[in-house]
Amino acid sequence: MTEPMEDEKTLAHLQLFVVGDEPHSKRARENIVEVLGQFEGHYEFEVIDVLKNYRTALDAGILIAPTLLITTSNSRITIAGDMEDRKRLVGALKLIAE
Amino acid sequence: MATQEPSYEQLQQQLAEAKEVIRALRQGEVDAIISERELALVRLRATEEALRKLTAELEDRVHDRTAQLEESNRRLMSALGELRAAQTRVLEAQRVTALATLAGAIAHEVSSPLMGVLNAVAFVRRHEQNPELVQALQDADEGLRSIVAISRNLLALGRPPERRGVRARVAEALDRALAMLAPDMEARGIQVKQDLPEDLPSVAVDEVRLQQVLTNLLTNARDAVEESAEKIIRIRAFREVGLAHIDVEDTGPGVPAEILPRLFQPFSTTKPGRGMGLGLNISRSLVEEHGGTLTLESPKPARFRITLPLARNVGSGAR
Repeated sequence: MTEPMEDEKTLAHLQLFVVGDEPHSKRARENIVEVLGQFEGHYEFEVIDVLKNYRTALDAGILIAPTLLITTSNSRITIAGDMEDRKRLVGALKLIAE
Repeated sequence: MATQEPSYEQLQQQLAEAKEVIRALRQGEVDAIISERELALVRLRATEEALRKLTAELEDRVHDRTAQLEESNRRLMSALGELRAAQTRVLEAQRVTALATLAGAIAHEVSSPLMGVLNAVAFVRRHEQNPELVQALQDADEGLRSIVAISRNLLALGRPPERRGVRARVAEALDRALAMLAPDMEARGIQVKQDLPEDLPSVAVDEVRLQQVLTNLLTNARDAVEESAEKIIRIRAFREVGLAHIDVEDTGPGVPAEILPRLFQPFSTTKPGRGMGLGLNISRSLVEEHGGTLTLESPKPARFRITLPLARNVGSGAR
């Protein structure tokens, strides 16, 4: 895993757990992709479809989909649902970027 | 799951995450709940879906293959049917051609002695005084003339068709045919009614042949009405796009159902001892040679229809 002091900027790992192209999953993905434009270089982003990769979601302790799991070397934040509230999303990402 | 007791921070973290999950659930922004039990269901659903797809695919393939097989089967059957029909036509054509050749040859051989006998009879008739003998000679003369007519028909059968540029006026061919038959018909009390449009165009057929066909049909009609109370023969012509139809109908008893299948076959006759049963067969061949058809439009009243292509307009002479 990434060492904490490797870079000045903390690199965040973003995992969006979705269910195929189900409506909430789709909306969540769209919202995140739009917001992420502002935070380029601060994250790795991957989308995990629980229909194909259920075990990863279970192991990560994710309870519902869609859920965005943001992890850094020393913190973990989850945001669930459509992520229609962009401010919360941006706030969480800023917190990580700082 | 950690076997150690969770730290305060970990508990705080779990609480925050649980709150977030509850919030999303309350807002109904959830597509699935992740749990071991759900995992099993998801897998089951995926398997079911895959199975369903596979089954549908297999059914589709079976269906397609069946349809293909049915189609090729249908084509095969229809090709077979056509082949059989073609074979029958070829056999029939060969038979008719052979008959025609034979009949033509006989007619040719018979014609010279026939003319000799005809002349001899005419000569004796001119010089004979005994009325009974004159009557007998007249009968002989009539018989000979009808043999000449048969012989001409047979000769025509053996001749190759003339096709190019031929044209006939229906009214004229009919007049000529009737001229030969009219005295006889009058004597038998047969009425002939004609309905020919004045502007009927010429048809693409040799006029002598058309006359011959009309003579055949009129002779048949004449014989048919012989025993009827009402003795009427109706001839009606009319045009359609590119075609002319000539109907010959009589008030006779109609064509018996058992005759219908072989009506146009050679040597099929309802008049034993009076003809060879070649009339309709020859007539049909003559009409077909010119790209026309001869059909029985109605068995009762008997109505025959000659259909011929119209002659192409050459200059302004055609009418």
